[in-house]
Amino acid sequence: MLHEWQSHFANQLRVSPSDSEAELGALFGAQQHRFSVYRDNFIGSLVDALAETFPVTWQLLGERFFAAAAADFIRREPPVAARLSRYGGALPAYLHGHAALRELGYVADVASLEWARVESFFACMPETVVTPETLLDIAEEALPHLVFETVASLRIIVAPTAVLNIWRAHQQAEPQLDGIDPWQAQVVRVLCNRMQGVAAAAITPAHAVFLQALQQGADLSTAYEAAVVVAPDFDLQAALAAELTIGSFARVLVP
Amino acid sequence: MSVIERDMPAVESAARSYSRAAIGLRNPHLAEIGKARSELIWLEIHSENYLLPPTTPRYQALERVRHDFALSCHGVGLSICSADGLDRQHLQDLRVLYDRLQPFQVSEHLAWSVIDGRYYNDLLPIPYTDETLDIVCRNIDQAQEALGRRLLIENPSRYIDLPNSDWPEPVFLREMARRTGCGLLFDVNNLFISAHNLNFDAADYLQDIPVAAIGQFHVAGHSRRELTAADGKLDQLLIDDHGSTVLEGVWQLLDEMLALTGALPVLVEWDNQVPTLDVLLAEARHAQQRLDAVAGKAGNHAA
Repeated sequence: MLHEWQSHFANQLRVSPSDSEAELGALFGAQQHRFSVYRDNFIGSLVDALAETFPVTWQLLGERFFAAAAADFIRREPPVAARLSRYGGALPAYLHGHAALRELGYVADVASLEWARVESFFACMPETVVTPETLLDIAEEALPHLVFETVASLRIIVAPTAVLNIWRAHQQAEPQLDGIDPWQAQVVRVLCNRMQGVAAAAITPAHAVFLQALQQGADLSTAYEAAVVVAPDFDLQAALAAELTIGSFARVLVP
Repeated sequence: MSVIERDMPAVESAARSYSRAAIGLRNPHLAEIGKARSELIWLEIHSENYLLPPTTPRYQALERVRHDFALSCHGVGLSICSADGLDRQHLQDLRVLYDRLQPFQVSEHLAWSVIDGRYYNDLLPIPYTDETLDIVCRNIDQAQEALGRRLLIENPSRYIDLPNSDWPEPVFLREMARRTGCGLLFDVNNLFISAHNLNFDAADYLQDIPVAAIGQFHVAGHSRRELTAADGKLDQLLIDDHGSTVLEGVWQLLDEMLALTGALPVLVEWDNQVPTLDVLLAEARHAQQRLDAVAGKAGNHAA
């Protein structure tokens, strides 16, 4: 009985006020209007939590639009756990599908980047990483078959918009958007390490394909072949050196 | 129950050692909280704010704070009144945190926020029935076992007189404490608010409260909100928003309760529109004066 009652109560939190009058009357009688205290807390506190997780998305949409969109999202997808810092993973997809944002695709892309930063932060383990020196001890003929295990905090965002430039412009009190073409496609690598925290950098599409292949367990030669399909002049040595320097790999497996 | 009695210190001794006023540690004050050392001996944290990797700056700041203050950990997400039971992973995470921090008290709310696998991020009310009591006691037993600690359970602020309730709240709390061995974190502001909203007399309520189970007091600010009922009448509610100074009526109710319990830890809660640390410390000083007055009276009795 308590289970049914709590389910019923929770369902009423999720429907918009105009749709719930008869149900609330049955649950609470003459005090049904007081249910708004709970509904306002539920929606309001989670809108605040999402605003904290997606601060640039909040700035791009403005307070009112963000609150309305977030409230609709919250009703559809309430959190599944009490750690609100990890709530909102489905918000970028929701914004991508939002009819009113069809002409403003960069907003959802920025939300994707903000969520990638959150995931990266929480995956930031004090792990040892593969350094460039590690490769000196490996026989040359083994190199094509090396498998690089990427660190847990690595995320790659492929966006048709200038997601990183827009995000960066909003890291100052007065965002400077002059000179930013929002429709210039960007690929971003997000990574967290203990020294620098979460860092995001633009990489080339071929570099992203290379990294994604490694992330999926491909060996070095297979990842390289995938990258040259995108850019025939892909510089394997430079890409590998860059990733080793920033600590993208947790382990290297020598066959 | 047996584990609680055998292995855990009583509410009484933990509580009496820290019978001073305190404040909740809030993020904006993490860097400067050290300056409160001369006046505070303990702080409260919200447990869920520190379920973080120990390498994160916020967690490391807490580790530093821990050297200067005892901690009371206040959980806001366990959903102790959920008919679905408790989230084992969440319990395990809390256990790890508490084993690291060694708080002198840990507490949860007499409320639920989880049902059917969804988390509603509010302290939702329960009807006081036999079935609810069984479920709540089972969940408290499980939590105390899993955490290896006695819990203090906080009385809720109430807005709706649930038609399906048949136990008076203080009797429900007494039975819950008797069955599980848990203590009470008594929120004086919540009683003040509930008495207004549900139109009962706080003095009657106090007659039935299990005084010996109380291990800590909370006081906080509240606000008024005017709602319109279905029949068009205006309905003025008190809202537990922890966003202002404590009102005189709440301080007076605290005085009455301290007269029943003797000195205990008293926490000033302030969670919204968090003011400067100095404002919070001024509130704590006021709470300390109320505590000192009780101690003074107890001293006079002894003499």
